[in-house]
Amino acid sequence: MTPERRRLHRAAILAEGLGQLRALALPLIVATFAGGGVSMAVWLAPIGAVVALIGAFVIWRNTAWWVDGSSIRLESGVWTTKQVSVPIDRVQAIDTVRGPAQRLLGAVEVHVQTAGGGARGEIVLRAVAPSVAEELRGLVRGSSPSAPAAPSAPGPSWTLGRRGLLVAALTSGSLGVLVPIVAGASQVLDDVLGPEDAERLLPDTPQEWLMAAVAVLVIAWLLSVLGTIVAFAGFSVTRDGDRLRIRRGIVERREASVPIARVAALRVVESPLREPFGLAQVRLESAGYANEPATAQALLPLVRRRDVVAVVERLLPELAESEPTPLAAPPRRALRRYVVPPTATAALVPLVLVPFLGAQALAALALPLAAAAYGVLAYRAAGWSLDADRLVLRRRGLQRTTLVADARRLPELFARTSPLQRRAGLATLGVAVSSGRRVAVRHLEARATGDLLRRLTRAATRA
Amino acid sequence: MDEPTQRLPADAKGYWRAVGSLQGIGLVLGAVVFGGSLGGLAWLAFLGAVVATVVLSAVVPVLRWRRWRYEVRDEEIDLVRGAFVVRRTLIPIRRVQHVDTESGPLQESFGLATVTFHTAAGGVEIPALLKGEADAVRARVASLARTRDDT
Repeated sequence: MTPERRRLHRAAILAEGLGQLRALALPLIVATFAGGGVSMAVWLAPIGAVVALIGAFVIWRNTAWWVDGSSIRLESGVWTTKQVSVPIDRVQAIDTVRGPAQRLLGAVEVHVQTAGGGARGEIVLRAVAPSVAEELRGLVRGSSPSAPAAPSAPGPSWTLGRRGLLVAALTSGSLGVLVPIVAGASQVLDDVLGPEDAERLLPDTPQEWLMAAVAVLVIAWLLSVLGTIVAFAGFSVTRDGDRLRIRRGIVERREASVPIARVAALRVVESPLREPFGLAQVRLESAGYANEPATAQALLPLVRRRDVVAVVERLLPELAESEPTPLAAPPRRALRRYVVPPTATAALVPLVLVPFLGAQALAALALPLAAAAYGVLAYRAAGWSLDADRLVLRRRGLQRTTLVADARRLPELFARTSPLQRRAGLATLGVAVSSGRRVAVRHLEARATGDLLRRLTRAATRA
Repeated sequence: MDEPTQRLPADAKGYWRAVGSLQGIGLVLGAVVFGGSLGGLAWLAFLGAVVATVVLSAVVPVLRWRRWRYEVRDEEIDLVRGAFVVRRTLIPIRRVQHVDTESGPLQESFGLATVTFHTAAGGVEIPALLKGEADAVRARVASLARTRDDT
């Protein structure tokens, strides 16, 4: 029996066309401002829309997918044909996304996730009927056909309420979003104004620089508030047998189902805006999602730190700490190793600035002080515990992060010592989890580190 | 759990010296070409490149070789390495997805090969084993892990 080749749902044409229009929008806006004038935009926009839709139609005509015995196949390409084939037993999850186009026409976008998968999944079916997504889910689960297609009784679940969403959004500010924004903005300014005019916009005095920095921070914060609302509105996570089903998002409604067996670890992330209020985000470390953005890894987008254990106990008892043990801390003498390097680095800034700014550079002395305080906090955050195969590692980069992992499934364990650490009898201990993430805690007692490494190896190699 | 005991072959030193010398030549050439733009400080760039070459080609290979130890046990692979920062890495063998050996042209001329152990978290390698040893390690780990043995 030759397998039936199938077309995508017609919503794929609209989705693809909208995607291409979005890519065209920025150049069009720039061209309008750069001198084409509004009349040109009025002409160009409909032409662009028609071209995008025709292009999308041609792409749709040349795309086919089918299930062939043991694998899912996708064939696409107008000039050259590309075939992707994913064996069904390698599929980690069938995720769905509903963008505006799919929602309008009653379809869903399907992402076939595998362990090695990139950010979007190995195979993306731009639009199929919802029943087809369920059919694919059934196939993947299919090794035991007796398993019910729909869960008989809904398992425990957790939802992010309106207030939770609001607080998550307000406290979401992260500096990471700044880089593309600043780069993009300077690019646009360069295009629109030409390099010389753009340069005149640069601030001259320290006060202007400070104001510009504050403005950029506020814009970045507003954008991340918006981004968080779009990503996490209507967030819910449900335990469904051997899977977690995560639903989220307003503009694009996403549904991911994560096999419990693939969850390598949890990370409790307390960012600087959340930690003072006792709030945290819990993220999944799972093999198929290593390269996905942080939003795709969220198990609980915002939760009180003290509720984490109880909620995880309900949703994911496999990784819950039966009773949280106090963490073992680095020894007292490690404190100065946490404090001195950042302080010394930060002290360079006022030293460099003095010749340029004179007495004003003294204000920069706040930097080494802040760095010293950071060092103390990093020292206080560091710790570990290993109790009945449950490994907990806590450390502070900018944000305080706690890793909770099953020691029996760690793919790599390591200890590291620098010459200075060896002299002081200290060592750094780390593990890798199977999502590829590495977490290390610095300046622990060397002897305790050796002992912990031994216990971890025993746990990881025991049959 | 004792420290691992197997050393790398002495040829590893020669191979690393060759690699370090090539890197050094690159650095010195770079200093000569771009040092001119530094004006009076050109000699400093040149001196720095020469010192780096000596360290890379003479000092680091010996330190690295002296430190390197490995051992493949029934349950885990144990590695100790690092000229200055010493790293000990343990890989549980049942987490090894596959093993391969590889030998670049320069390695080939020294009769050496690299063994890489791939896990879900990435890969860890033993960089300079005699080819026969490398094949033996690969075969042993592959059979212990009952994984694909692809070369």
